[in-house]
Amino acid sequence: MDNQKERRHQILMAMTPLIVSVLILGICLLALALDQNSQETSLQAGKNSKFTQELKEAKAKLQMGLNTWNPETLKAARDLFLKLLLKGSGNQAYLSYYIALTDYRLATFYLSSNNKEEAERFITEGQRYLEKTMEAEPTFGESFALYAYLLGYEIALSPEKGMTLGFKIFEYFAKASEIDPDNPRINLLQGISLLYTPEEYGGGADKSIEFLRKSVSLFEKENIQDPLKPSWGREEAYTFLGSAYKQKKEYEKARELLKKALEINPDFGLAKRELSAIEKEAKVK
Amino acid sequence: MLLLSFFAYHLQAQETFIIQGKVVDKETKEPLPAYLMLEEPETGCTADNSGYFKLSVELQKIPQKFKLQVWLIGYKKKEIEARLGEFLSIELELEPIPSHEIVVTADSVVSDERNLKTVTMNKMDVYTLPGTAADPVYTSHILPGVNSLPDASSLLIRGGAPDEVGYFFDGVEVRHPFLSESLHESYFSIFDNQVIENFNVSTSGFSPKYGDALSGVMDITAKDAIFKGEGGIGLSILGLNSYLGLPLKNLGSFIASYNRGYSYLLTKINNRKGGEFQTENAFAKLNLNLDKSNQIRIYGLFDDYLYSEKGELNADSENKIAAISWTSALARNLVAKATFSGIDYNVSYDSQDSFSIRQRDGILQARLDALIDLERHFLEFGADIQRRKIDLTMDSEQHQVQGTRLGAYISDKFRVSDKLFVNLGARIFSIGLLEKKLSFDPRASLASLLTKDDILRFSVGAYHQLGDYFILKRNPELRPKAAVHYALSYDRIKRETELRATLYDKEYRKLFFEDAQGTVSNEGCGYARGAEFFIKKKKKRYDFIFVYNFLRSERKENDVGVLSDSPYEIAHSLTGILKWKFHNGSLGLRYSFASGRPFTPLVGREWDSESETYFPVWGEPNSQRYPSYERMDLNGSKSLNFLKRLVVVYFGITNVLNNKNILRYEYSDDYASRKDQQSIFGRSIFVGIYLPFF
Repeated sequence: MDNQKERRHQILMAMTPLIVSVLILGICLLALALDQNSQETSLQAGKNSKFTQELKEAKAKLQMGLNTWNPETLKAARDLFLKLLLKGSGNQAYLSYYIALTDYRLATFYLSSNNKEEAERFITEGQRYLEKTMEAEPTFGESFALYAYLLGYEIALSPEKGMTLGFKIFEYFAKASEIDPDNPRINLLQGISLLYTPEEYGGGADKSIEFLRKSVSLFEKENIQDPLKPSWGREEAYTFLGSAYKQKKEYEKARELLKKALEINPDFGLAKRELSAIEKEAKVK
Repeated sequence: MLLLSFFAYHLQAQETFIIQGKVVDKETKEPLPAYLMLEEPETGCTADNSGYFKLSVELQKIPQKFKLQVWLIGYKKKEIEARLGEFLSIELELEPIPSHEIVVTADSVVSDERNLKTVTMNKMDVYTLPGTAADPVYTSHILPGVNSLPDASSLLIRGGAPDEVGYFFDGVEVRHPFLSESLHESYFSIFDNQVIENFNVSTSGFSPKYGDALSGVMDITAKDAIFKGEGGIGLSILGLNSYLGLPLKNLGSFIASYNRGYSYLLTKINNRKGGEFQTENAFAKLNLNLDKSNQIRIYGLFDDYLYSEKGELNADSENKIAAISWTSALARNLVAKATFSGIDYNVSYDSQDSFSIRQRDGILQARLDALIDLERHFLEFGADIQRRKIDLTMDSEQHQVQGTRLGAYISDKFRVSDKLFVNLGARIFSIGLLEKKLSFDPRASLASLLTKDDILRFSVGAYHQLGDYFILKRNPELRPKAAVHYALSYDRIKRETELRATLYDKEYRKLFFEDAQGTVSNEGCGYARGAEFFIKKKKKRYDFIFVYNFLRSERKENDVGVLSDSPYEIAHSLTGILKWKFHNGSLGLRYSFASGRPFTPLVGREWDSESETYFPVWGEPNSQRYPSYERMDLNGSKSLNFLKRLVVVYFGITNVLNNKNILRYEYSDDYASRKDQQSIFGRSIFVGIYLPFF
């Protein structure tokens, strides 16, 4: 009986080092793994900062395209966003939004240069990207507003759709401002849209000014740090508010606002063009 | 010199290589402006509108074999491996469509949704197409598979009788969907286009979600979410119509409409004889969002129709519907909906000297529907219960019948491959009135996308319908009437063109047959076979619609003891519509033709000295045909700017050519003379204005 007890004790004693060494090895491995893990996370961060860098580049290119009103630059910006989307980095919903935003710029360019085929292509693609964004991020109001705006372009291309799409535009804008009522860009897009909607359909300069003024005051309060979030539009709000006053022939106010837009972004082509148009119109007067 | 050598050095250092090729759609071979990305070195470019791309890379940085990712929104991402120097021909395939976004049954959908790949009409079509009276049911007459004359509202689907169609309004089965309902013709639906979001008409192969209908289903959805106030008021020579839609911030929305109609001006202006009618129609619906995933909808519909013929005949029908439903998103892809509703329908016909009929139909119903969206599978299941009590008073005779109907269904619509969708399902239902209570309806349909625009559908299914409760009460050994559908249709749905060609066969079984002794049995039978062709073109300046239906149908039913031509057989019917669209307005012209329906001729009369009356002697059942029906309609509308407000002015001329269309023959009491019962749609002019406010 005693003998047996002792034997058991001996075996246990003999096993102790084995157990201890296995434990130590385990801890070492765990530490190593953790280290690897932490290395990986720092790598992820590096990747992320690379993503941020590339996103910033793409956004800068988009701004440059807008300033110079050059479709090739806009397309290059679009390619940069697409590259990020295809690489699967960052927030896919936001990337889709940026592609749609570029599509909106390109569609505007081609509509104004009367190239309907190209305009249509960017309108439909923009809408599709926004549909993805709206589905993935239903609380991101700006994509609803941009979608509404693109529906307006669809009407510009085929006026017979006006009756049915008209209501939809209202719906999407209303949904956007329901989600995010104090977003300057939603107010801006709605303001621009109203500026080009005939009065009998509920548009006109006066109604547009309401939204654009709200947009301007909201832009003054806005401070966006996150490079992922959209931050465009401040100079545009001033410019379109200027255009609205120009439409009402209040040239003095218009001039002031356009100058303010150029203070914010001295390279903004649209503001420059509007300003020189005012000088001409005022001279004719 | 220095500069030159610097350039030379630079050129050498950055010798570039161009990767080029073309991207096209795999099906249509259309060029695609896809985006291409090279993995190493990381760079990308977009193909131009002709699908061509050129990607320049530094030669040193690129391996002999490289990988290229190609993608365009709406298409599947593709990765290709290529060698330096080849011209790349790349084909992209469309992304698979989620199961719920495709119509597998032969539906015709009225909505603005895209991607359903079926024949569509939009809400504005209901307003702007001629001869549709802004009524969704009349508009459905233009759809393929609907054989109705442009005259009466009731839908005759693929040779079926008018009562073989089930009508659903916002999840509620509506038994009396017409303002004026009579034995022969029903006129104008109770559904107001102003409050309708969309509707669809299934001409066969419809989902097991719907039961108790042999031929077809019309499912109408009232407006739900409204984000911005909308509404309008209209005045016409027929009366007033008004609509209001109000968003209630986060709480939900409120929708209401009120219409009132008088025929007085219409008959005066068009110098028409006959009776006068008055209508009243009101609808209100409250959508309440309890939270993000729970929604309650409460609605009420009231309509009243009064008809009088110089004091000789008075008809009054009244429909009251109240419903409450609760929709709950139990999980991200699981939605359940419970609906409770009550319908109180009252109708009376009083003729000064001959008869007085009163009918009351009280219906209480509840249904539970659930759907699970699993991307590849779209599962629907549910159950419904309906309790009906009908009181009928004819002069002084009183009849009453009541019955409870129970039903349950399950349906799975799934994507077998990107090109093939299948819908399998079944419905069981039972009624307490009958001894053999249970009926079983298995149904299957499939849709195959031949290309992205061409779709082939096939459906087969069993359908049961209870029919008249009074007949069921007389013989509890009866079984419900039955039909088996086979339908094959081909659709080509493009942006500007919608085309459908269909072949179908509907076999009727167990129809009710009443023998000379008045015993009703299931010995009736019949069939309806036919073909349909539909084309709709939407051009910038005009819309064009052409629909042709061919039908051959025989029935042995009611008191007809041999298989003979069906009284619902309109062998040929066609409609052509041309709508010109101009700035802020449109002008529409429509022509409809329908060959005559069969009727049983009167061959003589017999004097019965005992009762001192004449009895008719009928010829071969349904052996003669009424003259064919022909009608041309014209309408137009224009939006005007009046005092900075939008005003829509519209007009319509019904039956421009003033064709005298005969719907029926009626006989004098002694069967000595025959009178033509003409269509109520003689040539008549109609004008109105609409003032939208939002």
